Amino acid sequence: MTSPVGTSRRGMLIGTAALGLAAAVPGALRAAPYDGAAWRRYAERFLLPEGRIVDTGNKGISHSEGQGYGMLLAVAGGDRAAFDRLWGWTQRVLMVRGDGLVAWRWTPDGGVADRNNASDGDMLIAWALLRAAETWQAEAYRTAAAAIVKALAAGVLVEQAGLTVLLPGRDGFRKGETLVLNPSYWIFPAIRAFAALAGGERWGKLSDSGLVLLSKARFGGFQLPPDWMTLDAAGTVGIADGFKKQYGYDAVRVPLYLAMDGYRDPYYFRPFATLATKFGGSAVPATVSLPGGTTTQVAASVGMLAVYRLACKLAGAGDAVTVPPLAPDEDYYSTTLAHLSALAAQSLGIDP
Amino acid sequence: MAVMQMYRTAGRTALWAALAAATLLTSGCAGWVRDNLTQSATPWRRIQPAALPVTLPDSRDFPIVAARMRDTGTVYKTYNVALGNPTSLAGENRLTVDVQTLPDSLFGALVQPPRVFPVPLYTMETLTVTTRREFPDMKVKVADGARRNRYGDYDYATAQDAVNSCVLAWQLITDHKRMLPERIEAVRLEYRVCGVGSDIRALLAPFDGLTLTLPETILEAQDLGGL
Amino acid sequence: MTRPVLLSALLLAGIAATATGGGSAAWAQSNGGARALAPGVKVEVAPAPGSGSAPAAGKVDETALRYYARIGDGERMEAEIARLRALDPGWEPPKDLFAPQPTATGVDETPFWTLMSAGKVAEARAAIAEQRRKSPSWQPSDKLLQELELAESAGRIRSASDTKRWQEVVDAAAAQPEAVACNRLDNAWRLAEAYAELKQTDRAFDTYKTIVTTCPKAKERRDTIFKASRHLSPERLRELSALGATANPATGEDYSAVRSAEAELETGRLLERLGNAKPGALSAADLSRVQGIVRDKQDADGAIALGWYFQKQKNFAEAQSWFTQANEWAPSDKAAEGLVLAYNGLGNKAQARAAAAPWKGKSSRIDQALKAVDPPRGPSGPGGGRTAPQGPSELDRALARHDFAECLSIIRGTIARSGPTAALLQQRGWCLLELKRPSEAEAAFAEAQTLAAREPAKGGASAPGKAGSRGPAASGLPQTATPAQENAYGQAIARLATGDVTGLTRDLPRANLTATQRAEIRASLMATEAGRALEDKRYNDVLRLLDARKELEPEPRNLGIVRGWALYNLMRFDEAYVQFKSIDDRLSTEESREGVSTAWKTIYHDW
Repeated sequence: MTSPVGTSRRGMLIGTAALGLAAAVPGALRAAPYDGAAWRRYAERFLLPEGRIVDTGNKGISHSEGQGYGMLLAVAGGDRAAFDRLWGWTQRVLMVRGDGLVAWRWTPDGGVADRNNASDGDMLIAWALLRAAETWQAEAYRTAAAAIVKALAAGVLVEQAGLTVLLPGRDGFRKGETLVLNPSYWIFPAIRAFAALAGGERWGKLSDSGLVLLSKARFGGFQLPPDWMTLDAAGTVGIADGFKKQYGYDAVRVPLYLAMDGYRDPYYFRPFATLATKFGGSAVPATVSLPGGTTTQVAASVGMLAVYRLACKLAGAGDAVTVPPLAPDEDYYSTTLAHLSALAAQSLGIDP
Repeated sequence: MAVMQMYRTAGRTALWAALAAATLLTSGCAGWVRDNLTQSATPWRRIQPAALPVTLPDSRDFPIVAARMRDTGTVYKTYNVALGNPTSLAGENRLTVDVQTLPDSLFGALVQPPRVFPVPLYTMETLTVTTRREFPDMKVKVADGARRNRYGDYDYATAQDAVNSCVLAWQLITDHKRMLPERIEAVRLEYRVCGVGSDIRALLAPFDGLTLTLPETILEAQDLGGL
Repeated sequence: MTRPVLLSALLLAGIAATATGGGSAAWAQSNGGARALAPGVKVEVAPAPGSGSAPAAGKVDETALRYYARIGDGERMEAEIARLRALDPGWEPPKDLFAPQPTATGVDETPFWTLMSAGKVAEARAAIAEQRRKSPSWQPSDKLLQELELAESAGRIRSASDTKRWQEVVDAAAAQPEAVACNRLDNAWRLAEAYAELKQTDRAFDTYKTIVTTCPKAKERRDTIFKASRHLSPERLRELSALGATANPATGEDYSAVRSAEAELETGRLLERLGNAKPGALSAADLSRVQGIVRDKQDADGAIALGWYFQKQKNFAEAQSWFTQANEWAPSDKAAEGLVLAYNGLGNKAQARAAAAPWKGKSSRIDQALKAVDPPRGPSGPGGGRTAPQGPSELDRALARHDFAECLSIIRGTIARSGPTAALLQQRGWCLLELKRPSEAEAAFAEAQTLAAREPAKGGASAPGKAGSRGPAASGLPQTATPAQENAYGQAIARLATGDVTGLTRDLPRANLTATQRAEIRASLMATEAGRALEDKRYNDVLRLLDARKELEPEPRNLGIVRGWALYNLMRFDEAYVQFKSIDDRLSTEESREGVSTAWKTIYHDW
């Protein structure tokens, strides 16, 4: 079996990143805002005609997360035709489980390669549908979203140690009394949108518990959250076995989602800002082993740097991070993070 | 409130107490988690030498006296081979083999037992503690250079007194690209042998000549020279 | 930059953080009135009124004070008043302290303080973040943030030290020096331990020194010296005890126990060295010192240790006197064993047999020791050409000295000259067991068994057992083991030592053992199982096994400790405390003290 999205992403070597940065001119360091033009460039590169987003960093596969991100960016870019193609492919190809959730992984050679769901993919898709319903005043999207949200609540929302938490997938993330969780699956703005639906109280509790867990799950010198964590029956959190024990490609989205939901408490952004400033805001390592603190030679991608820039601003660390422009061959994940960071900054009223 | 408890056992006690204590020494923290039975080690069980995943060259001085194994979770199997000891020194001669397999499925492996051996296998501190325990009152020296057996380089320390010599050798095999089959994550070997005389090479001969015979073939390091 | 904090207000009125993230290089050594407690931290008296770093009058942050008043926490309220006065001597507590206080921003901090006081630090953080999302212009008070950081740092120090990440302990303490103080002694100990583990012994010593010279309670100073004993040399411990017994005394505290802590540790060390010492390895001064202490305390275990020390030197008279002493203070088969062998060494076989009499057939130690007095073999024993009546053989003398390596050499030589006998192989088994080579021991016993079956049944002239006799004696007297039973017993013990619990449990009902031997093995199996159960966190099983075992044999000290932890983990804290305390009262050791102190702290929430 393959590990869920995010664990096999690669960035460029730190040396290369530093070179790219040296070429960038001071003054041109503001990342581009996200708009219709940005969406068209994104769609040209990652949206295939049949309606799937291709993960260029992962052998051209597609997954529920990508579909969700694509749908979100399409709404924000005002492209309803693209949105419908994305949603159509998702329904047709990935929603084959029969329980209203989405199979998470599809490969060009093998089709649906893993029928398990990835909760963050489901959430992104449902949230994008809700936003589409609002933007284009289309009730059908809302109905579809509500069905996914209901299936999620039934399948992956569970209570543990007095907290309402989100299983990363419906099957396989419980071991005895211990749960394996992914902090970056707390997509706070999506959760808030679900909480506003009829009967959404448990989603409200999920937000609260997310903040509690992010306060508890701080490891190593930088006090960063792990990509994968455990929560036992007593409420104690740990770093999950069976995955790389690190902060990295998954957990980098934690500050992004917090910012997108309007959180501004520096306490929640400081660990990421500390990491970024420690490395001069440029050659930030892509992963940090936990709790040991060993950093990889692989540098954070442009999209990750965009997240760090946002985190530094919210942590009160100022313009500590400079974000180079997206490269022509920037991969799917990095590009997506860059655009989402821009959207978050725009909604908070700060420079991207 | 985080309730973490350490307990230790008394040093010098009656034989009975010491026996009872033997299993306790490995324990560290005991929290509140109850459902960890699948993660703790099974008791040792006797196995036939033929069932060992390792074949040792025939040796008059260091024959296999007994073989035991145990499991820790679904990923670790530990084999302990007690070898003959021609000296009158305390402590068993032995070869320990830990085999760490990859679990069959990701979801089956979400919660794994803690590693049964540390990585790195030794630090200067833990090596000092170990050699002092294994070879009390002997002059211990850590070898400057590594030696090589079928599975690559290994490190060792020697201990000597007027009559006897001992060796402690350790090796971690993690070469996935070439040596280890897909399902095996790592193999750890530790070899502790004392013998009469001062011929260190003779003491290391069984370790130099051992062959691992796991269900899937482990390629030997020298097979790979041409690659 | 000065960061005022809540400390044990009597002694440490203020603390100044000078660290700028430079790490260990910023360590400030003791100078003037300042004492080093954490890297980059000086503990010093309150800044003079009006000095630069003190907040301007009228700007004192009363948030915490009002909170303590509202929840009625008088002790912390007074400490806070003292702290605020130290910051600003002109400041007076507000008269409306107990009146509800509307805040300027319209956000009431009470819920956050309540969460934090309940130990729900993460929940407090979450609630604050949510509040800030809703009211972007609001900021929590500095005092609230500071208390949160303090609680989080303490948690970080604890978890880093629990997982042996020593540098992180030091870093966490440096980032939040206020977390290391007398009222957070556990953190201070963990910091000192971290320095010691990082081989920064001077800093470890300085930290311990600061504790024993500034923290007022005698018990805390004493506990600190015990903690320090694991990391510091005897000389530095002596210095620490002397400082702790005299420096900055608080009224009503008796510091004599602080001074005696060092002597207690010293005795323990000497006794331990005695156990491992080669003849003559202890200086005359140390030896006489330990003898004096053992006599003072009438310490039977200490006397036995001294007995063996002299026995190994073949000073049988001195050994005999200490074993006799031990047996008078607390009769035991351990003391009797030594006595039997000491008399034997003196050539006084009648006395040796008399000393063994109360335990004969009841204690394997004694039966074993008696073999040195009356070797269990025929008239032409393998004693290297001598005959038995002429005195102890070379082998017997080696056994009497507990020289088991020599035992192996002699037996090897004998077998090479005149071939193996069942008795020799059995003796080899016992010696291998003593040398912690149980696999070979088991094989030796098995070999002895095979050989015995082939040897003609020759009645050992002076052996306690009658070869070939089987089954329990009809008389009801303690049953004497046959050689076959001795072999089976030896094998069982060897299997225990190799951890073959499952196999042994399976085979035990069919094994040819005396009732006493069987009970002994069963008791050991249960002890081993109890240990496993504790590891597996099956605490009720631990108690079940220990209770069953107790019916067979009195519970030894280490199993008593195991019982204590099982009770503790079942949250039966009071019983755990009583259990640890009763062990600690008999003989206080590091693990009994740890049990007592942990149970006590849990019961009284004194972390």
